[in-house]
Amino acid sequence: MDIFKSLWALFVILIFTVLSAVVVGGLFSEPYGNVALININGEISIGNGFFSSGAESDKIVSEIKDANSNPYIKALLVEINSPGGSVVATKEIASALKNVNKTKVCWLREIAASGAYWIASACDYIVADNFTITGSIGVSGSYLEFSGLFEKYGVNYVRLVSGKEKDIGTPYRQPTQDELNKIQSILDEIHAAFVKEIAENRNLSVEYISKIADGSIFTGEEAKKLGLVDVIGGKEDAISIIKEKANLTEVEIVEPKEEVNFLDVVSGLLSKEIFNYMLSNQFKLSVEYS
Amino acid sequence: MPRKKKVKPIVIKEDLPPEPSEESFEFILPEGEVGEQNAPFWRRAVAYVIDVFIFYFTFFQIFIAIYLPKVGFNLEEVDLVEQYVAASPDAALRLFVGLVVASFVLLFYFMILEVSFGTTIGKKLMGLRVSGKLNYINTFLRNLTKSVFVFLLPIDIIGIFLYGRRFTESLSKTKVIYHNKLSVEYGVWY
Repeated sequence: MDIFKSLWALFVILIFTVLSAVVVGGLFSEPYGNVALININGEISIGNGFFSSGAESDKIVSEIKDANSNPYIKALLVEINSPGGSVVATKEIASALKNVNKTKVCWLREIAASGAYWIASACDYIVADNFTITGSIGVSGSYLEFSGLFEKYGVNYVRLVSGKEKDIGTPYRQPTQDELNKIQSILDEIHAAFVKEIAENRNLSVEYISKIADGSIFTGEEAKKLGLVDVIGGKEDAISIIKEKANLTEVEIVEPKEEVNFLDVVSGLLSKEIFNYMLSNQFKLSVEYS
Repeated sequence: MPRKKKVKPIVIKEDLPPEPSEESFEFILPEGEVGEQNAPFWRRAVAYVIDVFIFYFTFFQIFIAIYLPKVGFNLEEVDLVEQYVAASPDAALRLFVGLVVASFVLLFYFMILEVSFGTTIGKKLMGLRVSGKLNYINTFLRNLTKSVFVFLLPIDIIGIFLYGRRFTESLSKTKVIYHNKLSVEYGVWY
């Protein structure tokens, strides 16, 4: 009898243990987001400019790093709708994505060209619509040059520089051949790095990418044939890939929350420098930004 | 007038130690308790540690195996608790609630065993048991500071040194004694 009584007592404790874990655990059973949505929308830049808009690399890199260190997040869905942008900002975002050790699926929307495609290539899989505009693998350093217009209106450019290349790229005079060669060599260097990154990310040869990296744009369908895109589809297809590759039965997408305070809202309309100037000179206040 | 009961004599085998001298004493406890000797603190402490260890390696493991996945923790990534908490302030709350509920399960463990058997596994191994009216209310009271309010246990223990039993034991009118027959001189119990 004692043995049965002992077993019964232990069984009762076991039932209580299981019930309490199930009931109390059930109170918290709302699922956490397990897929982070990284949105790259607009022109890619470092950010912090006057009326800054578009895809700011600082903010996006921070989101990527947070998603990588968040144990709830099992995969990243990178949504791109961008014509490209600055080289450094693009490279920062692409490098941050490459350092993520979770499944990354890129979903191209209307346009994902130039630097935006560089970023997309850093993902494990690329999903694009068959009419998405992508490609444009190349670098541009073009600018407007107004020397003819100035001459027409009798405006002279007075050149006072400490070094011969100090005003290279200025729109107020015609560039010399040496300056053009110099700028071209910089562009070629960036282009070579761009091609090498794409080739490495897409597991294609540098020679092959060089052939198609003449700045040509492609539709999603053409890009798939060229090996630049993996799947023709939309968001649902991207999510299916995530479920398969990250072994998820359910996908709950979560967007990074940005904490915005009043100063952020106001200074979003102006650059921080002008806002601070206004505060300090008009209202005799100073604001420090962390 | 209470009826006298015949006490069955204890058969001492030849290989047992010699009969105790007059200075030593034995408590023979038939159905009614005729004498109780408080268990020393060290035996009780060891019994408690044994009970906690048994609970930790059995029921607690079952509890966290069910609870943690339900609240979003991956058991394979338990070493990432700090990152879970950093990723979501809610995670700390879930862990805290889990610990509180587990402490109630520990309380239930003590309660069920003491009500059913008058002792727990740890106490039984150390030759101890609980005397007094062992109903659910009393066992609940006496075991509160050993489980849910364990942070009050150091204060509760002071009662052992002052009055021979913990404050919660005084409250529940229970105490921990040696189990059945004990020969103090020889440290034999059964």
